[in-house]
Amino acid sequence: MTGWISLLASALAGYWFLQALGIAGSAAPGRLGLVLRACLGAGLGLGLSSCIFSVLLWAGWGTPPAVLAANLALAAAALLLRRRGASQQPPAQGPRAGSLLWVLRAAGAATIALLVVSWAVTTEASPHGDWDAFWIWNLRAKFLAGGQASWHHAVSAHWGRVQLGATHPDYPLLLSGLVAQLWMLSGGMDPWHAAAVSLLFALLTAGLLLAALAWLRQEALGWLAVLLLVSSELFASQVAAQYADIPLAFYMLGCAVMLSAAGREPESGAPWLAAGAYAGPAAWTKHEGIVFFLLALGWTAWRRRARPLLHFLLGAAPGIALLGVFKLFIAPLSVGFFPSRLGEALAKLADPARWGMIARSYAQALWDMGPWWAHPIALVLLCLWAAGWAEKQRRKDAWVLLLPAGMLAADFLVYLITTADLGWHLGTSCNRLWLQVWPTLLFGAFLAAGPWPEAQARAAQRSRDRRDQTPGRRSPRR
Amino acid sequence: MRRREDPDKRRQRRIRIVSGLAVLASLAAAVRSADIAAELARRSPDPFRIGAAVLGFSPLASRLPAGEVVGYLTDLPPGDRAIVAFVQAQYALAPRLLRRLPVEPSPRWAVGRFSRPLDAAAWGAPHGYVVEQDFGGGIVLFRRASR
Repeated sequence: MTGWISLLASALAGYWFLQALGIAGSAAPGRLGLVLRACLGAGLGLGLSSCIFSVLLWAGWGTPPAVLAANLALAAAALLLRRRGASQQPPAQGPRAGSLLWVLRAAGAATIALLVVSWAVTTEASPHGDWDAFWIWNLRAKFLAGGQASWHHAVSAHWGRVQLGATHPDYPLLLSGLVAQLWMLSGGMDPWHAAAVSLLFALLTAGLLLAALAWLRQEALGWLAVLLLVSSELFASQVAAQYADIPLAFYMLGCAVMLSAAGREPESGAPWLAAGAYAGPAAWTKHEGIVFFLLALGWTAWRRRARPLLHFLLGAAPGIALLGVFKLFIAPLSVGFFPSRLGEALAKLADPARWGMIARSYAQALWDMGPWWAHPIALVLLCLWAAGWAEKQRRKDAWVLLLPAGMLAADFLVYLITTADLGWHLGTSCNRLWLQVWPTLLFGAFLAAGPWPEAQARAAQRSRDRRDQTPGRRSPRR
Repeated sequence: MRRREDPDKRRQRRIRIVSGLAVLASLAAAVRSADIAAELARRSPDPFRIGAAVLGFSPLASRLPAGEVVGYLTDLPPGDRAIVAFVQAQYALAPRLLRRLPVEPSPRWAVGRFSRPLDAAAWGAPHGYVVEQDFGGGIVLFRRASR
């Protein structure tokens, strides 16, 4: 219980930090504004908490009282900043929901409930998760939870030598650090804690997708995106696996949302700061997150001038600085998939068979996202066909799709030059690379979609309200 | 003469139909996914038998200090079975770190994971270990012999 109280404190810290920055303060309507801030805040707080936990371990203070005190201090600091920060504006009122929106809400809630049931059934049967969970993420969490006596085993090259290429002692520690905190503070190693962290990130991802689209577009589009995300086999099958891909997907989505929001407030530095604050934890979650951080950084540098770039770097600083120390001094890369000679890399790049094999694997991963009769990509395209494109100015927001596209291209390149057996490499990771970018792809696709009928209802409502507020007019409903 | 339908109304109707389709298809896909998960859970719960290993090693784990480096002995030839057996033991005994013997310097304790009944003492002796306790089920705790 103490472990969860500690993580709750860090989640609240993230929430209050965002409030202090004025992120999504009054922009998101009604309860969904609260969902948006809660999801963004919890993810930010958990990321910071994991960073602090690692620093405590490296500094020799990795004891339960120190970990608990650090999380409580983080929450206290955030609360102080929030009080000194921007004044809180009342949230905007949401539109009256039409019947279509209620149907989407009910269906979305039902698919989320089914996801939770699936997670519970699978976790009951396999509480320690799938292979990578008990051989990488949770095993390292056990080492970290042992505190000063054992944390260094989590980055031990000896452990990595058991099965070269599959253990990753050099992988960053965000997920393992969170699970380790729970275990350390609860005084046991209950596998349900690790499973609950996995479910938490899945729900945060769905909640963020919903609320971010409701904020930047419409609630109906948010629910549609959640329906497609949660019902896809790709996402649903991985929640109980307890891997780091869903947390990484969450941080990628958080960064993409903030970069989209930044386009709307070019004068404010806060969204850029927040975008960096999600790109940092992404890099602290998995190596693919480092590529994502570089892509987001490159995009920020290309689109804007120095100030947004500085804000972005400032936001990413905790995660990136920690990663730098980790890679330089704690766990230098020990398991390399890259050729040591340029000639070898060029020969692999020039091999058409490799291109074909990777392309087939990408296509297979796409096909396996869901059953053919409910394939999420087909449903996204159908939605875009029905709604058409958003107006030109809004359609520009969909540039965010370049981030997942860049990730998939970078992954393709890694497969091309990998020194590991290509069949094994593709077979063990390709679908999870799609999972990492899947929420951001949905977010970008629905940003590009035209308005759903709810918008017309809202516009009509607004026009009625405006008429009602005109002096000398009375509302027909009053 | 037939009146042409308002394009906006047509668009709205199209959106409603597509929304309905998306809702039905997604719900059906979510039910199918839950079904598959339940079937998998029923047919092959804990396929790598990690839970059983945690249970099996727990009496031995209580004898070993947390964080200790521990030697590992097995009769399994290198291959997938040997890897799975090692992974089970390592996960069950973490936060202790298992290292395959021989290791320099020799850890104070070693764990044996054997696939069949055998003379465990004969397996430990070449590495300088004596049997401390046989926990049954092929799980043996060795202690480094005093020199």
